[in-house]
Amino acid sequence: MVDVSEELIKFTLLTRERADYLVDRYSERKEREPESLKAVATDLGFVKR
Amino acid sequence: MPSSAHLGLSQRFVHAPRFPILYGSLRERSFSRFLAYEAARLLEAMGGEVRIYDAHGLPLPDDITADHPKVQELRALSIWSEGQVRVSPERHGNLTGVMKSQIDWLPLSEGSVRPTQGRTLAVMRVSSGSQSFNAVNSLRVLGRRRRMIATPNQASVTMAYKEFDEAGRKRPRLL
Repeated sequence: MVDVSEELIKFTLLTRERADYLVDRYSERKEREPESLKAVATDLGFVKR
Repeated sequence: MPSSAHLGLSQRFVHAPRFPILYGSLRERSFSRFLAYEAARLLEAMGGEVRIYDAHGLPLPDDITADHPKVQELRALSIWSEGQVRVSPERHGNLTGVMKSQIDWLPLSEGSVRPTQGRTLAVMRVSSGSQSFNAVNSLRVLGRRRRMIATPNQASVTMAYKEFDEAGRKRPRLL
């Protein structure tokens, strides 16, 4: 119990400030702004040039 | 005692890390509630702010619209959270419907609001029977579906009736 609680506190302190960035996803950005990300997708090879 | 300094973090946070705790049994002498309270005491001693959700009166998922006060209370707690603890009894080799119903009321996203995404998650299970990890494994799967960061460690209490005293406090473990 103590082990789990300690670990939860540590991981929470590490991630909470960055949580928004950690769950920021390419697929969702693409859904929001398909046009502006087309170039990125092409560059990465996901879309044929 | 875990501290921000050991993690190379500055001390500029104004609030303590926030943890709601969900537990999966409505019994009067619920061992998962006892374990939830033990977790609360530990997290508070380590500097966390804890709120325990009481699922009494929460309707089954989709039996009613989400503006029900118990649903709103649950969602508000999840939005407020930075980490969560979920404690379930293991019934028929898995987590209880009471636990799952609470999780089912939490959407992945509601407009731009994301009640669970990016939060840490600690999973725990109690059982009166033998050792098993089915319920904690299921809780991990459900956490992943909600894009939560589950800690590698977990708690699994077996023969719970031996582990807690009359007042619901966990007996000290013989080393």
